[in-house]
Amino acid sequence: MAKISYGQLFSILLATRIFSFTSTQVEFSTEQMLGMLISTLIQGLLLIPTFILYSNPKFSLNRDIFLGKYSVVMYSFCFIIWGAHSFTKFWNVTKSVYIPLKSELLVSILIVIVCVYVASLGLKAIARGSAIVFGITILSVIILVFGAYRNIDWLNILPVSDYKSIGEYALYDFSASGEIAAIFILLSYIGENKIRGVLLFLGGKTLYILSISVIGVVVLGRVMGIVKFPFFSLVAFSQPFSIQRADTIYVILYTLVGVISITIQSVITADLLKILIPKIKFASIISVIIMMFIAWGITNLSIDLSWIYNTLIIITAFLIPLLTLISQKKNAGGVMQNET
Amino acid sequence: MKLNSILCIILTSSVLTCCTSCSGDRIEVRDRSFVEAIGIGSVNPYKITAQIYNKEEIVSVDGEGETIAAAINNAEDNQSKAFSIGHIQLLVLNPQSIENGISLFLESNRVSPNCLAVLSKYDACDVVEKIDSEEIVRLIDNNSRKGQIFKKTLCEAYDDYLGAGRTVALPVIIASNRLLMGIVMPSGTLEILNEEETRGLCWLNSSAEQSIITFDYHNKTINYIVENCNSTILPKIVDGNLFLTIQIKSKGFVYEADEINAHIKHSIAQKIEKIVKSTVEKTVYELNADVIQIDKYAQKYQPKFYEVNKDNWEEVLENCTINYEISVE
Repeated sequence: MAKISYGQLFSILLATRIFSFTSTQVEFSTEQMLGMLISTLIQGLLLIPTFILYSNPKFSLNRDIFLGKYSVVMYSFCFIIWGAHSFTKFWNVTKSVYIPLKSELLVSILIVIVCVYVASLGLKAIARGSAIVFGITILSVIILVFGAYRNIDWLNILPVSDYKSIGEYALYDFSASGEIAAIFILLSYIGENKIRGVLLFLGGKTLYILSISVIGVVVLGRVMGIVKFPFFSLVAFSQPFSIQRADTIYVILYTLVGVISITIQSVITADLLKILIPKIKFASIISVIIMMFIAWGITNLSIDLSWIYNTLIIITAFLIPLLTLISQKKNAGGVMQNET
Repeated sequence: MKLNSILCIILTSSVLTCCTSCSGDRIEVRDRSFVEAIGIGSVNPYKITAQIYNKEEIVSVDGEGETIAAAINNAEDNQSKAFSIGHIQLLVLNPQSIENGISLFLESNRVSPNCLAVLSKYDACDVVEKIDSEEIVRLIDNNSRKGQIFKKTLCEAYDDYLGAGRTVALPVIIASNRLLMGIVMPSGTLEILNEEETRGLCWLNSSAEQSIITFDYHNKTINYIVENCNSTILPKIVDGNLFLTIQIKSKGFVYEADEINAHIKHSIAQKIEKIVKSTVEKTVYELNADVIQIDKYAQKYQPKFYEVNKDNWEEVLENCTINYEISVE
């Protein structure tokens, strides 16, 4: 099994979250930031069973997972749905944001080819690539701050006016955080400092989302309410040069995090499919193609699947690890009784 | 490994053919007209004039349509090349076209973010047709740097428009080499401020750096050069009405004296107050126009009052009391 470091885990998870955050159509506001903080806190709590399981060096995912292959099926389903969700987000953005290709189909085909290629290289390649993407992310934030500081108006940060909406924003952030479902599986690929990587990710994503949201609010002000994709409007209005535009760096970043987000789901799905069907070939390619077809269905039928995402996240990130933990404790108790 | 090689070849060739100029639908640079400025003139139907980048002379093309987008399309059809509007640096507007003009460019996401919005006393199309847009941009930059006006990008102008007062303050082209600030009222009429009111507006928007204040002191005319200025508004609610304290802090130097003594400071503060008061009298009390972000301060510091009164903002401005605190260093 390919092993990756905790730093690589951090950058993979962060890239995945950056992708869903930059694709968001939810306007940035004080309520949205508070909602995100609440959601992150809940995510941290939901991950506690996973942390307990992986803090035991004897824990093996393949051997100890609750309900064995049934859980593996559930995770595979979750990642396929999540990958499809990523595809739909990508298509939505490419419809509104200027990408220098006229045909949406061509954009999709190119992205699928890239995803299939990267997925065929395996987790290790994605992990190395995500570290580079992390560097590009930092660079893009620096350029963003540099371009935005002239347009900053701190008056735009307003106190909370609608407390009820904080819950809605928390729910939205939670349903956009599919990557926490992958943590339970991805931790099995990590050698040391498993929990540190996840904690770093939770802190890093909070910092990233908070800083971009604050910049968005202070730069866009009331215009935030009329724009379709706040992140792309923010970067369009935070240019470091007077005439020459620097949007390309953000489009490149968006494509890269998009590719990582989709391929990581397909690579994990491929590994899980191999557990279910050991003789399966081209599993990652098959999973990408399935994802794309589901995405096509979601887009054309305009289905709102947020409640499915929320349910899947709770089941895969919390319920299965919790039941695994309980069954492990029971087994350990049984062994102790047998020994006495 | 073999599959990887095949995928790698497909990917590289796809990128080379699709993302470069090799595919059939690409437009070469020489086949593009780079639009530098657009003037939106009359409405119903919309008439626009686009100024196209050309080193030697002013090249402009007109278009007409039921919407601004249709008018731009028509202008593109009236010449031989494809329009590129991503680098546009100036949008000249008539007061009636403010909402549609700015929102179209903002929503399209393809206009240059630092594109400046400016009003014209005359027909916006005529301005774009006759005056080099780079000259106008330079004039705006220069006047803005010296605290005579303050420039606004499309985003900032639309942010004003979305405020409770729905009024926008923008530079107005008075003549080919002269700018003042003007206010577009919710009714679409344009109110042009005089020179002193324009300067006051700059002070109230913390944009008076590098401006000069002259005043008489001991029978001598003295020049105070502003190095730094900062304006804030503190809103309070007194007897159900808005009570505003405008605080202006200024730092600068006087050519005619080595240091600014208390008397000079007092004289400068009085002069600044006089300038600022004239602007407030005109904008807040006479026009009931909120061009100094009173709504934003109220929303931030008196949110309950703002929520209740945001739909009657003109009435709020009419009944508000304003106090001044000017400090000079």
